[in-house]
Amino acid sequence: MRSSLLALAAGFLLAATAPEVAFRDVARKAGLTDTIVSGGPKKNYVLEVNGSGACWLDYDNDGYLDLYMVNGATLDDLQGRTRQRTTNHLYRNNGQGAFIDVTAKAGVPGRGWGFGCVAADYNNDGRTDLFVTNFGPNLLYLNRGDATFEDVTAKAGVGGGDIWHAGAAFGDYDLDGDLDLFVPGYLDFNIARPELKTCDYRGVKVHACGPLGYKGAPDALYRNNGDGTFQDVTTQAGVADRKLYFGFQALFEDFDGDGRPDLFVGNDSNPNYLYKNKGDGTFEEVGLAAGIAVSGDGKEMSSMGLAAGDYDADGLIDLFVTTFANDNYILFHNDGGGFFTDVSYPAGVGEATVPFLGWATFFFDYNNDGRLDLFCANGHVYPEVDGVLKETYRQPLQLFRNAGQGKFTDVSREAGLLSLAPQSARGGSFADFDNDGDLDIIVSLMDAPPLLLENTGGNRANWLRVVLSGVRSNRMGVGARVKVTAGGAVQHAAMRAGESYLSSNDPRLHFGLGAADEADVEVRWPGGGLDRIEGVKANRQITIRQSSPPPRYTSAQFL
Amino acid sequence: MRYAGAIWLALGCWAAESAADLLRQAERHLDKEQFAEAEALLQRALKIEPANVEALYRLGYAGFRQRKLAQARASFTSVVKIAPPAYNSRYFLGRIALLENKPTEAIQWLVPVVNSRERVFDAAAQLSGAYAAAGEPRKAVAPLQAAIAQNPWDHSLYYRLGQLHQRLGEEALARDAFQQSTRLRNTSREDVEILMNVAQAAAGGSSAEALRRGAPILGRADADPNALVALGVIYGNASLHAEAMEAFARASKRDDKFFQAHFNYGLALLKAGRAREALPPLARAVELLPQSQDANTALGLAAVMNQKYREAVAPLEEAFHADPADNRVRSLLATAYLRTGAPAKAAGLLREVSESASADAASLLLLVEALNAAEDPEAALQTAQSAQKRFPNLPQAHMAVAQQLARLGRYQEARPAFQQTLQLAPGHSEAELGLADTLQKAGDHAAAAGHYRPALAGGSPAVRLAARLGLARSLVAQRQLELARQTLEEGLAEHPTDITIRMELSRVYARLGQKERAAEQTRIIEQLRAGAAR
Repeated sequence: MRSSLLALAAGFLLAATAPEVAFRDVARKAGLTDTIVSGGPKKNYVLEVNGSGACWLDYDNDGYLDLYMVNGATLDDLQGRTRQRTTNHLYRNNGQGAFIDVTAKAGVPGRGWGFGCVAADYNNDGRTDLFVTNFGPNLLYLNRGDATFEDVTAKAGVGGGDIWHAGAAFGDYDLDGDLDLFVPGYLDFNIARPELKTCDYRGVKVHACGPLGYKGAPDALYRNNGDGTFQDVTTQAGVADRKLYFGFQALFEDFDGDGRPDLFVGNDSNPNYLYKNKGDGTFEEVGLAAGIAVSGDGKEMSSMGLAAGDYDADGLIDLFVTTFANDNYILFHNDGGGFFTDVSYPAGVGEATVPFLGWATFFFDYNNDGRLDLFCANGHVYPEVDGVLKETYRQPLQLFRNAGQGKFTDVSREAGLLSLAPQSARGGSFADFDNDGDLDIIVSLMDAPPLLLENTGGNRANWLRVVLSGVRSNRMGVGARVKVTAGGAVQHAAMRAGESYLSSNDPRLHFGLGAADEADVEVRWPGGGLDRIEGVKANRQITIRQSSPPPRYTSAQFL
Repeated sequence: MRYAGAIWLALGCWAAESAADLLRQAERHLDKEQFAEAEALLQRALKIEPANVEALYRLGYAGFRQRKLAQARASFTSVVKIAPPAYNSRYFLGRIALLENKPTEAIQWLVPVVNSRERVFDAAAQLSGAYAAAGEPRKAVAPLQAAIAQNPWDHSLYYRLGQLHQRLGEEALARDAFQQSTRLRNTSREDVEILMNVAQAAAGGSSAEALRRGAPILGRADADPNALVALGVIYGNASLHAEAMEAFARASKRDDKFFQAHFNYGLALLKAGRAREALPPLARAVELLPQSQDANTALGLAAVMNQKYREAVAPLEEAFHADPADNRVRSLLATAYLRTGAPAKAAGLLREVSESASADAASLLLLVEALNAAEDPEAALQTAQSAQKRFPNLPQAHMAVAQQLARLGRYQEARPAFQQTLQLAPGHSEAELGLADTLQKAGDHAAAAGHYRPALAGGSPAVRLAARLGLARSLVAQRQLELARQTLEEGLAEHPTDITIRMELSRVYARLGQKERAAEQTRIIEQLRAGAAR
């Protein structure tokens, strides 16, 4: 009796004092010490304030995710007044917690002023390729399979010309089994003769004014021809951005559950676009009617980062958008039927985000409890606010734990994020870089080396990782919907390539299972086909290859 | 024994003369300026009734007239002690102090007398003299101006005013005062006598008599402008505003360069609530005498009342520069700054006032507005909370706190303040709207709708629009789509060019499956945007 009581007490104490899942920065230890450059320290031009992205990809197929960090440049570099010393960086994960710079060897230095990256297997050869967006022509790096890449931009026809390109995304919009590419255009910036503007931000004189006051740059949709080339189908597909909005980040996602990937484009200071896929190779812009073009108060937002995920486990993919300071970030709940409602405040992510300016963001299950949590990387655009306004240039990261019932709780402090020195963060993505069963985070910073936040404790709960291998569908399974049932709870996830802010997340779908030690997994493939595996044991990674027989399910039965 | 009794009886008969009798006898002597005789009788009266304030006062007066200052001081001091406030006795105590070359003490006695606004001899003029003697010429100006208001025909007062301005280095003001003194000196004795009689009748409360006595001046086509202005001042003090305005108007027409005429005319119009008409005469007054603090203040006030804030800034800056301690001018100038895009300046002015214990609610709330406009919402919130604490029964103070919290996105914290506002001011449309918003943000759409409806029923067009949009959103959240549609469509007539109402309508049509109607709204929105961009 006495020993039982003691055991009970011990258990109670353990539960009461069990440490919260937390993150610690291991970037330096991991060898990620290169500074990300984004213009000069004073940020005199809008070109200098948007930062760059971070992409996870297993480029050498050794089972460990490698990291590609995009780097900017300076105005002098672009104008040819100085020799550019910055490059993008490909870091190979050595599986021992360290990253080794293999940029030169791999042949992916980038060019000029880099912004975003997307990692995806566009040619279905089982090797992850890289698309890099720039100020100026973009770059498509084909993975040769021998730890090197080849610049095939010109051959592929996806350079995009001398405009400012932002956060691209791959998706198979025409469901022909290969990945198409959408690249938003941001704004028309005159690199040869940039205008030093001065404008007023809440009483403070700042220079990096924009984007209002500039002309927008056009978006582009490239259809994959399946032979290593792409065709610009922007106009005929109906996504031509005639109003020249300032496109920041795009993502493909089947929001209305009709089996066809739609396209969302977050526009800065303009209404967002939601292009509904009509299934005939064209799209119809329905953002306003869907309730996702502007905030719930009818205001246009500075839509920076995008996070897509089914946070309330109702089978519908919701969307979270980070915005400018003094505006709350917006959580759009997918109501079904192609309609959304702004639930930022009732969900608990409204008020907490008002003081900050957000960029990279994603839904991910950091504590493996089976519910999608939410991460935001923050940082101001105007260094001039420091010491003048209550807003600061460097800001803390934020983590919101999904508390269930559609609500989130700010756990930034408990997760150790407030122990980190505030930074002006921009790009970011998640991945289990050390393959220990919990999700870690990379954050690209302004004028500083990145943060690599190792998750400590998330793997105390069970998990399951699913790698998709398409056969008739695209090889990566982009556009696939995965449903995991474990312990009586159901989770839905979708495979995407390109989201957050200028970044790509872990291409393996991670599911927290809580205490459940096995799960049933169901995959609905883009274009049709359903595969199901039951009784998968927890705490492992499985690969689901698209089964050979033709699909028995029509697209109408997707959900 | 019988002889002693007889003497006693005689003494008793003598003592039977009462204090009242003695007082009456003393009064007769005082009327004839026989001060020594009066003094003796008064002393006897005081032996009978030592605390008789009438006797004490008259004894003090008799002593004062004989320059027996110590005795006079003692008597008057006793009156003040026994029967405060005893303004007349204070007046004389002030006079005694001045004669004894003690101007600081004189000021202490005379200030309450002047502040009481009771007409006590020439207390205002005496106070002005005391300040001047105490080396405070600036403080001497206001009571002298008050004395002039009471005796507008008295050229000597203008002369003294001119001297004060000269001492203060205000040459232009000094010149104007001296000119006025000269003009009045040239006013006919007849007119001066009329004015004194009018003043007497007015002081006696007989308006009809005052008007009758003043008719010879007002009714004269070629009336002296100085006399007209003086008459106007007397009428104005007697609340005969229409007649005062007529006098001033005629004076200003008769002499376009007469500062007092234009200034007083403008002031009278302002007091009569005719602020727009007050602008030209006040502007002319400032043009004639740019250094006049009063004219600048009045012009600034008139401009603010007419919402001509840009025009208000210069005169109010001039007035504020002349007297930074004038909180009324400070608030007016802050308002003008706020409305002309200089909120930081407004906030700077108001902060000093807000920190004092005597800050009024209006100043604090104006400071809240200025801080918001100056993009310092946290400081605005602190100020609003200070107002809320200091004025707990003022609905505007709670509303200010609620609005600030809502501006900062702290909706749930704002809710109690909105509720408090409604308790103090039931049916307050903006508070209903604010409370509805907090409920909507908490996801309580049914309760939110319950507050959007009253906000929709009242309030300004902007409030009604916000309430209509909020109500529609809450109805959509409750899946009452038809009702949401109806709510929005009803708003189109009132807000035909508003984009947000059409955005919501597009959403609702789409949810109702009315795609064509949704698309039509989107087209209209694009047209409205294109029109706005042009």
